[in-house]
Amino acid sequence: MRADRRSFLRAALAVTASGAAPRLSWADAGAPSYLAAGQTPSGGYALSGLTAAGETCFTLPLPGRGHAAAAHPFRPLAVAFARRPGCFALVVDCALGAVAARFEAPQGRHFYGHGAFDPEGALLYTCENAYESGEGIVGVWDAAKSFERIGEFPSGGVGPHELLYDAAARRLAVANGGVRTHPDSGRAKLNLPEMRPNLAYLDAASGEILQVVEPPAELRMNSIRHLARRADGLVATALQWQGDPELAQPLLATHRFGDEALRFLCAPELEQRRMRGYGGSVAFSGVGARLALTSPRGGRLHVFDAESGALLRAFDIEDVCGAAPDANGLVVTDGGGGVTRIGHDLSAAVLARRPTRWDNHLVAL
Amino acid sequence: MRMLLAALLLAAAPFLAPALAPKQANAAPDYRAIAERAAGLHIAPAYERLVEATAALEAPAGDCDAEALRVGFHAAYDAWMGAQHIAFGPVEADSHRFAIAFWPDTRGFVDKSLDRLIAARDPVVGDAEGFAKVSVAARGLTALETLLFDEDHGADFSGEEGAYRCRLVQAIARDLAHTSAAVLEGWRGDRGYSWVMASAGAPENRVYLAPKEPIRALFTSMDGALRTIEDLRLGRPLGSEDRPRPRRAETWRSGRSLRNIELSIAALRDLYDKAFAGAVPQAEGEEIEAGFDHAARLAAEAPRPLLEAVAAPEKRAAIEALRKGVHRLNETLRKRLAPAMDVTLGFNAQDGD
Repeated sequence: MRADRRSFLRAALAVTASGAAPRLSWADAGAPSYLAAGQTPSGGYALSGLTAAGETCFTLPLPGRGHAAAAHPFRPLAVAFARRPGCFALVVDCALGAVAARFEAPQGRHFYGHGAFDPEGALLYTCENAYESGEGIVGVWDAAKSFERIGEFPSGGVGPHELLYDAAARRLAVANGGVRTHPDSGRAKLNLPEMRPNLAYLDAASGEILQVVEPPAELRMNSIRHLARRADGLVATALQWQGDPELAQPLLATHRFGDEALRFLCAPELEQRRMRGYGGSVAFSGVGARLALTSPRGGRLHVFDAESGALLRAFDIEDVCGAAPDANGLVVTDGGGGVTRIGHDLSAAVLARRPTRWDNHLVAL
Repeated sequence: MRMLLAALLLAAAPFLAPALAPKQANAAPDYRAIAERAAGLHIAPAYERLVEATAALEAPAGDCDAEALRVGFHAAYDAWMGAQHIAFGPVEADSHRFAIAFWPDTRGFVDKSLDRLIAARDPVVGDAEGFAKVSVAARGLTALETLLFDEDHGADFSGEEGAYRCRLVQAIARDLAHTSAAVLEGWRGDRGYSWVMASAGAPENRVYLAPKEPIRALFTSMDGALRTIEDLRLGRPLGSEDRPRPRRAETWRSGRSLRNIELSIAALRDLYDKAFAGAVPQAEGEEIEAGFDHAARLAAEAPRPLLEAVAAPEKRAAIEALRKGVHRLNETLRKRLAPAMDVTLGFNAQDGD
């Protein structure tokens, strides 16, 4: 029965590809609210859909460990990137439970694990490393034509780790981590003495670099890695400090396009030390008033007031990393399989504990 | 100096001696004792050797005695290999680590910075304070190696340019001794880092909030050092079979790349023996020691120099085997030492992306 339904759906998709029939939507994949990669109890890797209540609505095998996924705005397609320094990406059809396409980074490039669709779902942008020169690249792929590569532009820095698409402004925000790596040496950091991370804004159509913001000199070793965006355009970034892990450096910053400098948010020193120099994921709450920063190394979640910049509460959650908004508050996932909701009132409730070890990021749909 | 230090260590021995009897399983490890042993028996002596070896460079630098300088360089690099794995504390402040040795230098900053100073005959070499503000790429052991071992101009102190090179060597030697002394100083004294490690969890300790935290820092250092060997010291020069990259090897000019690996493994073994061994159950301890022995043997037996071995198809296998042995040692530490210390290494916490 199931096989029949699948082959029917596959046929439907084939028709869809030619543009005739109505397309499948995220509802056909069980209406997930989030995507998360993880490791299943058997030791294999998978991409899962989670509902708002933390229930798993699908689990699809991946050939290797995932990192984050880029979700198509309306078709039930998730692009799962091989984790850094992987060279391939899988387009997973979450309704059919099948790999719809596979594409590879051009020669001499690898992906960083993140990418983003444009709001029409026509183009996919990917973060890439041109590893011989060390230049950061944004790759552009035609999502309608089985992910054909149609262009690229410089990311404005070294090590572009994550990018976001600002639909209203038709602009990309790129977290250029500043850390140079080469696949011959895995994830080893090759340029710490001279690293210069930045947050760059690019015109999504032309690739023109519109603004580049760097941390001040004393925070030069604070790698800008992950991003979140509020509806009004405020960008937040999670940082990874590459200097002495015992120094309590700020690991969270916000920025509004056009502003001169990053605004750093930091807990009081002793509390900040518990983050162990490592911001894992960043997310705004559903209503945008709160800002969450996770640290798997510290097993600690910080929730800040996005306006005042004050730390509101800190939570102990072992190996916490994924973070995303829910209707009002926030949802975080951890390597122990937990899915935890943090309410707008800063209450914490464990929604589910799955045997899957949730990987770095939780992607809101 | 050595004698005095040895005497001091002996006097301190009742407090610092590693426990010889394997600990009973299930008892919580004595984190404070492990931290004290690591700081007193391993870290402080390692920095003391670095201070001695870098201070000893100043004499041959005085008259630019090329042979004595080269011997001194090797002794100083040996000492750095004994301390390079310590990835926290004073060495991470003010870019001290990079001022001691700027490596990997993926974009040739050492050569460029030296060329610039030499071309301009920059008088900054005569001013210790000014030189301490020069790019870290032109300071430290990597720059010194270039000045002493470069194919074209290594240890060429003749003529007017040579005289400037000599002054540059003197400036680097003095700066190295100064930086090393600053790091050691940071470990000593009333609220030095030795105290910081030993007093983890005490209310007045603003660095480590729980007794386990310095143990985690030691563990992270060991993990980082083994990854450095695997990925940077071996992986990068190995490149691919079609395209080996020998000049990416550490200290390829002075031909000591594999020696660095041997010494770094030995330093980690010393840290393990002095600080951890007494607190690890016997079965785990035996497995860890076998892992160290295996990696050390592969490093000792690897075909030299690394520069040639990575480019010789028949020799690459031995280098690949060393790389695997180092990887396996790290796995063993993660699977045996971390649980024995009850240090958790999470799915995401360890992924670090």
